[in-house]
Amino acid sequence: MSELDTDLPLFIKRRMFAFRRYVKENLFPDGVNTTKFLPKEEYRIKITQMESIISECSFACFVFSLKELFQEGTIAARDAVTTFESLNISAFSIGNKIFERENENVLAGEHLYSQMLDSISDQNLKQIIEKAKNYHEIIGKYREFSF
Amino acid sequence: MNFLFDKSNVEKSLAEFFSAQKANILSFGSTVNQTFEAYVFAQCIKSCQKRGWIVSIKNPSSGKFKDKFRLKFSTRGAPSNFSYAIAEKNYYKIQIHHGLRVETAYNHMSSNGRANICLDVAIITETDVSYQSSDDAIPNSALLSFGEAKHMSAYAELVAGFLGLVHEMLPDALTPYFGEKEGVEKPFLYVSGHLYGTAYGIAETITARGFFVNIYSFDNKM
Repeated sequence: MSELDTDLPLFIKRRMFAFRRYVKENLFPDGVNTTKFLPKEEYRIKITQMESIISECSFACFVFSLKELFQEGTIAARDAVTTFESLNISAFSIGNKIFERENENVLAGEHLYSQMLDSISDQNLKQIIEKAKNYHEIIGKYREFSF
Repeated sequence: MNFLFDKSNVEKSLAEFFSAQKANILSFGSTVNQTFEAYVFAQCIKSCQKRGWIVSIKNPSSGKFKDKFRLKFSTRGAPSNFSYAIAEKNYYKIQIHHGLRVETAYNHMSSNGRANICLDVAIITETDVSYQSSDDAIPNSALLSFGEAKHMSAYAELVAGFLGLVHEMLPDALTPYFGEKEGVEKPFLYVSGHLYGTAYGIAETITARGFFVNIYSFDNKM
């Protein structure tokens, strides 16, 4: 994740590294687990392969977590606004930010998600992110590569 | 080595996205937790409405914020400077506050009388909060229920920590089959994400033990 990890806001950076251990524990709970003894070179290749699987799967989980973060931001803001509207309160504010019906602050998360999706040209990842309902589904896709 | 997609290529695209949207992402990130708190406060109001309470909003009645709808996103501040909801049923009134400081159930044992916690959502009996300062706490006897909002997924320790909070604030709720108090939400933890396996396991044992608390999440909304 070296391309990304320099200039990220902390709340995003934390997410980026949060999945590695979780993915490893799910896909390779015992590390490189082979039934037979492997020569040193073959073992080294297996380790590299395992690291690549963990790295790619963790990255997919990270992008999925951003989708959830952004989308849930708008869902939460929209729902709060609707509830307050039913009590004749047209808006609520956090600091100097005003949240009211479908304004830019309410829609910020949704906009960020669609811009993030537009920036990803890899159709396979896009499909994974759009279709997955949770992290388990993403990790499940990598189970066929684990050994 | 690629498996399902070209990671290094996507990293480059995302780096560009983060760079171009840095200001918007920072702005979004600066309020996303509070937005979730506002959502949970609103959900609590809705829950009361579903239980037959007629809900109205009480805004500050004097000062700089007179008549303004204002949620309390900080632990600091006098309750009278913020809005809260009043719920009424059969001539009985309760209040739903955001960020209210309430005495723990064991405050009487403390030498300085300051065993209190600022609750994300507090449901209390009708109480005059106009004389409360930022440091004052509402008596525990007024507390009917409360909720904690966490903008994250739940792991086991978070759920266990919440049970600790319930033990401090409403220990009777951890008595099996305690029963509903005044027809309001049980004490609850609301996470915006999912319950990880271990947290889900603990949530199941909470139900099995008959504790009077709820764990809400993205998959199990209030």
